[in-house]
This record gives sequence, structure tokens and C-alpha cells, in this order.
Amino acid sequence: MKLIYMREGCLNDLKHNLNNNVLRYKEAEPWLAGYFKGSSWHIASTVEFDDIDLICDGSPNYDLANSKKIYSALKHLSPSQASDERLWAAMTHSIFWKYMRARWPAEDYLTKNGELKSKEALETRYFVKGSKGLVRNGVARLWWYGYVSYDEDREDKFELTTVMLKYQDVAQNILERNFSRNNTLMKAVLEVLKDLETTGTPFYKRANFRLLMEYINSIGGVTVLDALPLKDVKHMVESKIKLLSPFSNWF
Amino acid sequence: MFIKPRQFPHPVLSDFSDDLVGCDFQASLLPSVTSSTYNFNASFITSCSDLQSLINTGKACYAVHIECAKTRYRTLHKSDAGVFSFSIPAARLDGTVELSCFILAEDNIDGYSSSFFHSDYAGASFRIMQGDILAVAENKSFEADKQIEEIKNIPSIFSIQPNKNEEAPPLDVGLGTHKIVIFLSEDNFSRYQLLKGNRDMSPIFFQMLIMPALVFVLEILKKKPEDVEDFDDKRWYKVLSKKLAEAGYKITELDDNPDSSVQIAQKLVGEPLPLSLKALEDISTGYSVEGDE
Repeated sequence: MKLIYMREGCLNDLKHNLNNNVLRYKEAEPWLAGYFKGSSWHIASTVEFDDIDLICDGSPNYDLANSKKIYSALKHLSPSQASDERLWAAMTHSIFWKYMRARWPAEDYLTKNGELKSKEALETRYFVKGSKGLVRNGVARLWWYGYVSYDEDREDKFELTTVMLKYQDVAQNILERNFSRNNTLMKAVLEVLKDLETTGTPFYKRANFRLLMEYINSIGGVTVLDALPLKDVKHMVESKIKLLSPFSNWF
Repeated sequence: MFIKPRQFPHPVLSDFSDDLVGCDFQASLLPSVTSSTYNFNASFITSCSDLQSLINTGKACYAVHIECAKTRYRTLHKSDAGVFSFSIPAARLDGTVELSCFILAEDNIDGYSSSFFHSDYAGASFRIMQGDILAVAENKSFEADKQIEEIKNIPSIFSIQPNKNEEAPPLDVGLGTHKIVIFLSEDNFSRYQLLKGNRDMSPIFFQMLIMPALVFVLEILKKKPEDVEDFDDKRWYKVLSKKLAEAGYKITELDDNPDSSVQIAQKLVGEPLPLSLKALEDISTGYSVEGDE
């Protein structure tokens, strides 16, 4: 199967007319072919991929399994290709429509009268909006979860992905921080979380995790974190967790 | 990671503060593009002899921080030399790339002080940690303008296929389908198949195959506008029409335009000739690309 991109004009049309099309987002089947009245709304790329059978369920519990499926099938995408809104908008509106209906149903974004509560909320799931759009788009986020945490050197290559997706808040909180764009920094944080879990002292408490992320961000204002070796970043993270963790006496 | 004016816990040489006086720190970055990489030549200079001394003794270094929000790319290149170069694979960048130039601590420094410190810091010394910013130059940005990526995208309206006719010319162009089909004679097609996997060759193929086909199509549109009716339902025609409009041309009025087909084609695809010549140069000199990760 070849990967498809949405035509720029069609993408603009859909984003511009989101308020008018909102009821279409409740349809059981993809509707773009009818909407664009036979004219092709997509362009085939030269990128081939095998069928991806996502688990169509509304629960975040399957994000890990789905992330593994998406990233395994599309590992060969370059970051430049994987940051293209036309690609992810085409996917959310076509081959992964059923997944999107299950995981990000439009009904969640509508009032009882069927009007959009927030255009932005629906837009972020079906399109790529803003600097954090890639980790919010319903399908792109699954690929990027894999990209930032997949590690060829591990026996379980998705070991760190598993750690990251243990709780939704962890994944979102890490990925929405700029430092997570550096894979070394990202992996240092995830390795510490994995080690803590292995030793029976997991550090996943939402408020504390946010404090940890804020701490790393504040350090980044003075120190260029990218200049630190992996062990020093891990030490920095471990030291802060020690202060924040209810299990600090276990260290 | 643009550095906005801020207060650091220790004196930092910058344009936005007078923490250090009577000295400065400047950086220049010259980006250039090859067939598959962005190359940067970085030059740094500081008139702060104390910082220079830290660099000379390995306690500090020059550094360039690169961050591309769109592709979530972020990395650091550093050196103790005032002039150095580095490369980034083109596929890692798209859109605005933020470049920040620093002098950074390479190690922990106890008792950091400088004769250039503002008098407010007279006699003070500071504990510096590895990675701490000691000097920051003016923020810079670079547009990864998709010049390379476009070479992949434009051919989405082109298809390269073998011409199985025994008397096939080396190259022919067909316009009857949704794509502009570039037909190669079978032996030429076999050679193309063997070589097309090498990404460094893509600008050369672009210049050899796509450009002549595009000029051929533009010639038809210029000289036989009456034939347009045969094409206007084709995908390639619609894409080309849009691309021409973006470049300031109307597809149905090319016959009235004084620009030649060659000139128009170059405006559409961003002058691939320099890229293809550079690719040939790289191949002939044995240049090989190394990723930075």
C-alpha cells in the first residue's frame, strides 16, 4: 500500500469548513470522496507500507499497542515526512477513520445541540495544529511516541515506549516539553522512570511528575542540557525525583 | 531554542546584559545545501581573554544549538576551535530552524570569575556546572526551504516507466493519464532502476528526466493552447496549473507570456541545476554523508 497525502487545497477546505462539516465527523464511514465530489482529494506518495490494523477502542489503554503498530509499519518515514500535516490529515480522514471514531469521537467535542464546543479541540485531533500538533493529532502522536522512545539497542525495542505510555499524563507532559526533542534527554528521563519501576519505586504521580518536568525546564534556562552526557542527565533527574518522591527514603 | 533576554545566576557575556563589559562574543553561521544534507560553517570570536583562556584549557567550548520545532529535531554541535563545520541530514529539517551560538562550560568550574565582570560583581566568583551558558551570541534562524524535499514532491505528478516498444526512443513523454509519464527505453529504464536507490543521485535524475519533461509540457501548453482541453481533467494539469499560478503564470495564457519554457520550469522547481552539479561534484570527489546521530 502507498502512503497518501491530502491535497493542500482539500486540507485548507476541510480546516476552513470544520464548523460546517462537524456532523460529518459523526459518520461511521470516511466521507471525503463524496465531499469532494469525485475529484481526487489525495496524492499517492512513493512510500510503501504494510497494512496497519489498529485496535479501535476508545480507551487510552491501547495507545501503546497502537503506537507499536504504527511505528513498526512506518519506521522508514523521515521526521520531515512525519511532520507533514497533509499526511496525518489524510490518515485520520481515511484509513484510520474507524480508529479515530473510536478513540477521538466528534461527539466528545459537541454540545447537546450538535454544535462544536471548541473548533480547536476537534482540529487538534484530526489535523496538525500548532507547535504541539504532532503529539496531539490522533494518529501522528502514535508514530511520534514510537519515534522518540524506540531503541534498537534494547532487547525489547519498545521498552521505553512502554514506560512513557504507562500513563497518558507522562507521555503528554514529556512530549510537550521542548527538551524532549533531544532523544538523548528523552531517553535519560525514560530510563530513570524504568529503573524506578523495576526497583519497585515507580514515579508516576501526576503532580510530582509535572514538578519534575518543570524542574528540567528551569535547569534548561541556564544550562544547555544537550551538552550533558546521558549519565549526568540521569543523575540530575534521579536527584530531583529523590526530593519529590514519597519513596525518597528508598534511595 | 532562542535565548531571550534573561537573568542568569552567574554573569553571562551577551548583547542583552552588561554582566561582562569591554568585550564581546560574535558568531556567524553559513548554511549551504548538498543533495541530501544541510552543511553549516560556524565561526566564533570573542574578545574576552578570560573566556578564551577557558576554551584553550578545555574548560569551555564553542557550541551551536540547532532546533527545528516542525520536525522535533534538536541537537548540539561543539568545538574548541573558533571555526568548525557540521552537517545535518536534510530529512531531519523542515521550515524554520533556530540556531543559538554559545560559549558553554565543558566541565564544572569552581570559582569562576573574570576581570571583565561588571563592577557590581567585583570580587565575586561563581560555581559553574557543565553545560552552563557563559556567553551567548545573537539568535539566528535558517529556513530549511524544502529545496531538497521538493525534488521528491514535484515528481508526484510524474511517473517513470519503461517503453517496451522495440523502436522506443531513449526518452519520451506521455500526457494521457493523470501523471506525466516519462517513458525510458528498456535498457535506459534498467539503468535508472539500478541507480535510483542512491538518494545522492536524485538531483541528477531530476535534471536529466523531470526538467526536460516539464519543459516539453510547457512548450505544448505555450504553443498549442487549443490542446489544453485534452488535459484539463488530468491530475498533472491541475497540479501544474496551481504551481504556475503560485509562480505568477496563468496556465491558459502561457502563449502570451514572454518567458521561455525553460525559464518558467526553473521558477516552478527552484533551479535544480546547481543542486545536480553539486551532487556530481560530491560524487566525483568521493564525498560521503554521515549522519550526526
